[in-house]
Amino acid sequence: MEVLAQNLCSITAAQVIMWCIGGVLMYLAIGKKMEPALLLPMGFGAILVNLPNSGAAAVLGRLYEIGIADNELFPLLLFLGIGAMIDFTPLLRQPRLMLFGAAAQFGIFFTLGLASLLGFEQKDAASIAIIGAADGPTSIFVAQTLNSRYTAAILVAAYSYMALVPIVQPPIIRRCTTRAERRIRMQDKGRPVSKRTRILFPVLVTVIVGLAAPGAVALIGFLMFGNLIRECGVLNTLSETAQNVLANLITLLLGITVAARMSAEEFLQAQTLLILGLGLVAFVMDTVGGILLAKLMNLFLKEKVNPMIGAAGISAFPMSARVVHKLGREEDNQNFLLMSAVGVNVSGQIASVIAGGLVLALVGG
Amino acid sequence: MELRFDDFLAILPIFGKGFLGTFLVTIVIIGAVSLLNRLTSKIDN
Repeated sequence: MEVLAQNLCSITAAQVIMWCIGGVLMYLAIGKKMEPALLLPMGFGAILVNLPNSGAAAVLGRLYEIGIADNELFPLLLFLGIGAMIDFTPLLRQPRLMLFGAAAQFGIFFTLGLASLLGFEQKDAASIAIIGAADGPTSIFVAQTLNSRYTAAILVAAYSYMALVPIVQPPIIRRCTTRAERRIRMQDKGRPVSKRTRILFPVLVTVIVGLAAPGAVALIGFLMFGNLIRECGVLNTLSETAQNVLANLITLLLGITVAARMSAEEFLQAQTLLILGLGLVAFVMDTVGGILLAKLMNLFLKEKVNPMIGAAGISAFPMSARVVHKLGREEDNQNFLLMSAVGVNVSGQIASVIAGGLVLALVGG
Repeated sequence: MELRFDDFLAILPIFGKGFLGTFLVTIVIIGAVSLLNRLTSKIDN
């Protein structure tokens, strides 16, 4: 009874705010079905570590050290699962689509400049900018490698905006394109892709990215290894396990582990709100970057591309491709942009890792 | 909040190199994939 009274008296307003934040995250996960595998454990973890004299803080802190801080184990294992989920065939049929993936990393570099202007140290600015990668594991990897103080806020922003892609992207796409542009039909002219190509592709990408951005080779390596397991055809059971069980389990662990950094004193800072705002800017500018490249290319191409597919270059997969396809169908119900949009979307996955690796090389080096 | 223009100017080269570098690596991958597609289609044929 004495302990209960003592703990009740030691509850702070900041802890109550963190419980509310945890509650909101759990509501988004359960009520709105937004990234439930991640937001649910994060929300619950936020409550867990903000109980007075919480004994869980030490346990989660240890998990954080093992799974994230020491060697970025969780994000890498998660990338293995993601790699096993992704079918790169639409991209291999039309490799030029990768350009849109590169253009849609514009938000990362724009936000890097903006965060520096707003007074963040270079390493923190770079970590915040990587929210624009629209890719949780890359965000954690870069923030942790650069030893950012804002890892938890960055993670909350990255995953929240990924889940909010269907809400964030459509108004931007509509503002950046005309109705006539949104009605442009795209024919799938790609050639069939052989199994040999699909097997060699992950090896090839790993070698190229490893040579160009060694800082990102672990990330791209695990992503591509997962894809190799999928495509090799002799590890189907492992591929299914990686896609489902491994990915879900690691996401769950990642979510509750990140909560170790969501103690009130660490999370409730003015900078957290600023980081959430900068994350939104990064997503918006990613979308704009992809669309603008498509519009620029249309000035020179005989057969125009629908500029909306540029917006699918952010690596939030497959939400972004679905958004573009849906917007295309709204304007013309015979317009099927899905295959092209998926090609751009998976290329964004690769381009975001390249951008992350280059940011690490340029800022961390 | 104080705006730090000096820090902003210092980050511009990273902005340029990073964005351009992303495009360059992407173009190399596009070239390599196109080559791979051609080679494997020849072998398969």
